[in-house]
Amino acid sequence: MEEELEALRRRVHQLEQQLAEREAVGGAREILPAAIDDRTELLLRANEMLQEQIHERRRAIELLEESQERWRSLVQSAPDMIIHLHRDRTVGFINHTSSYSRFTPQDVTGRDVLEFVPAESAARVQRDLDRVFQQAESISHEVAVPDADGCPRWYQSHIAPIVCNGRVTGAIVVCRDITEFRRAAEELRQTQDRLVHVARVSSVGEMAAALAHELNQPLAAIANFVRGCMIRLQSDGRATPEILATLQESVDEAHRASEVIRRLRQFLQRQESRREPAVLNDLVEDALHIAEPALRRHQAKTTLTLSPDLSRVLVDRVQIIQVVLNLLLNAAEAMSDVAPDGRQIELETLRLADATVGLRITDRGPGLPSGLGARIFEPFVTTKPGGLGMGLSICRTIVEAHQGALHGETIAAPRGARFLLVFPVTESRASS
Amino acid sequence: MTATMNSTVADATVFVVDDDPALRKSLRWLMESVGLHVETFGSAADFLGAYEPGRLGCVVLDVRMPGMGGLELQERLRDCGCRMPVIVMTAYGDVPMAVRSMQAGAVHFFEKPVSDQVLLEHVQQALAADVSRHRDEAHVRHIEQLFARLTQREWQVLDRVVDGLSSREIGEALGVSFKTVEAHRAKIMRKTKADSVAHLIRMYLSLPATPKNPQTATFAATGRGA
Repeated sequence: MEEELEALRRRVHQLEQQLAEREAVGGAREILPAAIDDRTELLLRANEMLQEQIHERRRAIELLEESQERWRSLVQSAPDMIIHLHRDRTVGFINHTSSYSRFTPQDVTGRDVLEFVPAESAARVQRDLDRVFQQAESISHEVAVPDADGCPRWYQSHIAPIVCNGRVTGAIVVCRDITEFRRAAEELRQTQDRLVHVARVSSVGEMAAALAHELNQPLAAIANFVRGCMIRLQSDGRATPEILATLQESVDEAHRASEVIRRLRQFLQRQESRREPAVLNDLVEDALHIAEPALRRHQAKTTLTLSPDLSRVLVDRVQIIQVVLNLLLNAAEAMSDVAPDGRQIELETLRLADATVGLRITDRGPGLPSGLGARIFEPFVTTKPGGLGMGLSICRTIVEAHQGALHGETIAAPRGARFLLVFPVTESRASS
Repeated sequence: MTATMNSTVADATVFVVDDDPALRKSLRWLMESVGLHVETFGSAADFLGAYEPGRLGCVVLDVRMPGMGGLELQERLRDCGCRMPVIVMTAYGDVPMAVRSMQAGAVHFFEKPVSDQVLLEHVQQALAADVSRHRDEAHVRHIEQLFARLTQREWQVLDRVVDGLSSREIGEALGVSFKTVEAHRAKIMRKTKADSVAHLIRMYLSLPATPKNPQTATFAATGRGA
């Protein structure tokens, strides 16, 4: 029985244990789902945060790429060559090489920049680079580099140091191709030289024309005087045939001299006359352009008022530009005694009545020399020390050869001289 | 001297306009050597200031002068009714300049120095042309003065005489007697100093037919030919 009881006791215990176990499991079953939920939520939030971080990262990278792309295209599409040089003068980066060069950016990158500079400029470029690296200075210079065909191209390069923590780590070189600019400047200089030459040559012709007039007058007078004497002597029989014959010879010689002058003048005129339709405004602008350096030297300021609707004139461009140039320089010279800020020249083109157009040039000088009047247009009349007095005379000769007119007057308030150039127009309108 | 019907070349003046004093003087010297009367002027303005309409002569001018040039002077003279022949000279000229001078009414265009024979010849011709023009004008003026003295009735008779009507026909047309017409005709002949009917008709026809002319006024008043 005892054994039986013991067995029963053990069984009860067992049951109790089982019950207790069962009770414990039941409690755990209640707790577990909540724990899982908590954990899941945590994980979801962490995931969200990570997603957000990834997104932000991605955006930052995009922005960075965008910005880089912007800079890259800016640098790449810059017409100038932009080169990054290391301190050892090797090329770290180059946006592009000149289209005239036989090198590509790949050829150049990593090589000493001096390899690409012609021998005659190498020493100077090296010296300038040393100054940039050692003294952290910016330097500009012009270098000629031969293109693929061996023709020199000119570059203006600006070298600036890259400074990092007070130390020069390299340099940025910006090279601009100025070949066309230099060519244009050179062409302009040559054109100006040529123009001055043409103007001078044409002056000879116009001077001959003016001189022909001046010489023909006294020659005609001589012939008239002598013939007047001869007729008188003949009519009252006071002279011998010998004297009359000699007087006639002197008349013939005067005529011969005139003939020589006339032929010379015709010869020079035939060579020069090249008329073409032109707009007065253009001629004035051309003359102003040529006169500009001289006007600057005289500290004379110009104001230009162009009439927009001018009919064309039929002129020899060079000659008319020469006339305007002459009047402009006269105006500038006339104001040498005026305070610099009062040195004003007004140019104005005008449509005038009777199918003519005009140019009015007004200065603020002392006006036309008093007492000379219209004589200022005569040859050898001048108020300038050392002047030949042919300027205005030639101007008038040229203008009159164009069926035009040139007038000069003194004006008051503000005082000055005013010249008016008038040309007949051809039938065609400038705008048509 | 103002022109009359009896003016001759001796009454005409050569007006020289040139800005070159020596040339002016030489032209005077040359022209006076053949007995021409010369007056000289240093500028176009001087000449215009001294110009009196009705004077006989011709103008010799330089086309190229400071101030008013020869062409402008020609225009001014034309504008003020001066019909004196103009001879243009220049130290050198070109074809366009010559054309413009001639268009402006010049009778000749010369380049200096011009042979004195040629110049004097053309000056003489110009003077003769001007004298004859003045003479013609003076003649017309004289006839106008004579005809101005006719009465309206006399004009009516005259118009019909010119039309070839007989005195009888005129008398019938005007409703007057033959004798009255004859008396009018005698008066007309006397007043116009006509030698013959042919002379009378010649004078009648030389009258300019302007509205001021009584001739035209009569036409309107009588309705001639109706």
